[in-house]
Amino acid sequence: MKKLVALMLAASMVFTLAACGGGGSDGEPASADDKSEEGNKKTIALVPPAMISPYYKSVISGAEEACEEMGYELKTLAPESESDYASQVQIVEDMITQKVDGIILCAINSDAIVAAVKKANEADIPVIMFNTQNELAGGEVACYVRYDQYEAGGKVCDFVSEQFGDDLKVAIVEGLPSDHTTERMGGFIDKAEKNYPNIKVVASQAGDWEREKGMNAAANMLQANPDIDVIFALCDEMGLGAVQAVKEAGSDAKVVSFDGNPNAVASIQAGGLVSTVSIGGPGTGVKCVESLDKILNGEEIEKIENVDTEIIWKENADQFPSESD
Amino acid sequence: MKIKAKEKKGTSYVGILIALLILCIVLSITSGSFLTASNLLNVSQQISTNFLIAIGMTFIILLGGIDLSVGSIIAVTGLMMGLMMKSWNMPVLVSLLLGVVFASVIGLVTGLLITGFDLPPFIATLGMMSIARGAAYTITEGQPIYTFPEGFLAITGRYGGIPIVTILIMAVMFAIAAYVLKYTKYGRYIYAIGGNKNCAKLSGIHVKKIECIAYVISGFCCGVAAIVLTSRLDSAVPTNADGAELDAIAAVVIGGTSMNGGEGTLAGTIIGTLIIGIVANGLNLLNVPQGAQRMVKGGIIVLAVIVDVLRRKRSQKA
Repeated sequence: MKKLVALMLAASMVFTLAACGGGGSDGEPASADDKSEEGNKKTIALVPPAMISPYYKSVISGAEEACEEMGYELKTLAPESESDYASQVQIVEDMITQKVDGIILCAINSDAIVAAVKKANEADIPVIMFNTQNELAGGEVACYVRYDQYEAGGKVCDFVSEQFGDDLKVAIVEGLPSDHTTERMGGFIDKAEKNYPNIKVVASQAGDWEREKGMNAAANMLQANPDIDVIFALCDEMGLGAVQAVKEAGSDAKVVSFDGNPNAVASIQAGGLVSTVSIGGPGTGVKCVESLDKILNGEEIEKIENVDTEIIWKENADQFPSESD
Repeated sequence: MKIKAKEKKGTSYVGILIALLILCIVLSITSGSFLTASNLLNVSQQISTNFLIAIGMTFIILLGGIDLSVGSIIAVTGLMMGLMMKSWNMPVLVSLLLGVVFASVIGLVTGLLITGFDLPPFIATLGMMSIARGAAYTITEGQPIYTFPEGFLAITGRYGGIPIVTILIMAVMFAIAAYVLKYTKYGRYIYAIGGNKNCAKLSGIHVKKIECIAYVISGFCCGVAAIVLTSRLDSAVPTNADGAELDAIAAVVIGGTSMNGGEGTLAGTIIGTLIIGIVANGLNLLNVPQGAQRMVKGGIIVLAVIVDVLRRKRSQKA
């Protein structure tokens, strides 16, 4: 009897799983087959490192709009976790097998992705990369659409000095070791050293891009340095965690962050975060599709396209998408 | 008779208790802000998730099993409770109760997979880890849920600077679990099965039932942990508690519980969570770069097990 129950449970689980899979990666190959019957509509593959981040969502929405306007079919697929670079490579390879006409890509790991890009080159499929700071070590990437996070880090420094004066103690909540951490932090620190000698970074700890870890890191830094004036979290999730930590510690520290996600904008409007940086998600998606369109029509394009970054704060927050839940 | 002998070994956590004290003394000297009330209260909140799931993990590892699904269960349960409170407008208390039941049922399913199909716990919970994480991504299409009702946030709120409710939850969970392990038949059976499964079976213990219940307990602990974590972050995110299983296993192992089962104490586990939490907190206070922090944490886990192995060898000789 018990065995039977267990069996039924297992069976029902497998079916639920299959049903859930419909929206995810399992369902994708099926739709690929549909496409070939649909006629001559060209297909673009968009492979972000993950679906979950609001940034990637906004890139996807920008790309979707552009594709609709220009008559492309967009196929979006991402690994389940933002650290699973092996399965991202596999997704790109699958897209090549499906003979898409162009690939838009943001690599989790720019070394691991080289092999997949080379395969795309062999298959004569143009590759465009976004949010990738350095050029790949191998393979041909037609165009890098990016924003200058180093410059944006500097903009954050300018902003805090404008708002809170140029004699500040700053704590930084770092992400995982990567270009993003180095560039965003470097931009801030170098700008401070050059222009504002009294803006001092007194502590800098990792929050691994996650809210809970960001909150813990901020709480501990506030503990060690209660006189921190500004906390610069290198992404919005950690920034929102830092806001919680500041609230709990009863500190006056101001939190600024980076990404421009809708929930961060909502927090700015609600008086939590002071600012974030818009890294032009929708604009990036549009620019990627436009560049791909030019290549497919045989036009020449620039190797590097920069999308503008901008500080979002209470004065201009209403111009950006905001969403509290 | 056998149980008596086990109990004597139960005092094995004295070694790591001393290690914990040394750690605290070193940190008090090197960082002025470590030994302050507000920092220690911070630590108590920072370890709360790991503390709660490590309680369930102790039951599992004492049985000689393992539960890799805890982090994912927390994430999916947090989102379920979020949906209930925010989208379905259910009362906070009902949502929390149903959430804990939901997490326990996931544990039950895992338990049935293990006992019904004789799956190795590693495989069954590895599968459940992926299923639950996938479900977490699916139910809200990857979207986080934010801004919860006041009543829910009160669980981790601070009153006079003290997170009373959180600490109370941790204390009650610990007290119940410690009582069950030490003074009930069920607890005895756990040690007996972990010590020698065949022997336990032959002496008439319903091994499968005991095992199954242990996974329900682990699921239950995840449900409570999901409440505390979601309330503290004021957000349910599909990536919540990613990798939490490893911290919980580390806490149990540092606490002197044998991965082969049958030996270990809940008190040891609690000291294990404290060590992990205090090391992270202390390294933050000292502003140690993140690469070095990871190395220190890994080193401590290895060191703790080495000490444990040596101690065990010595007690076998004696």
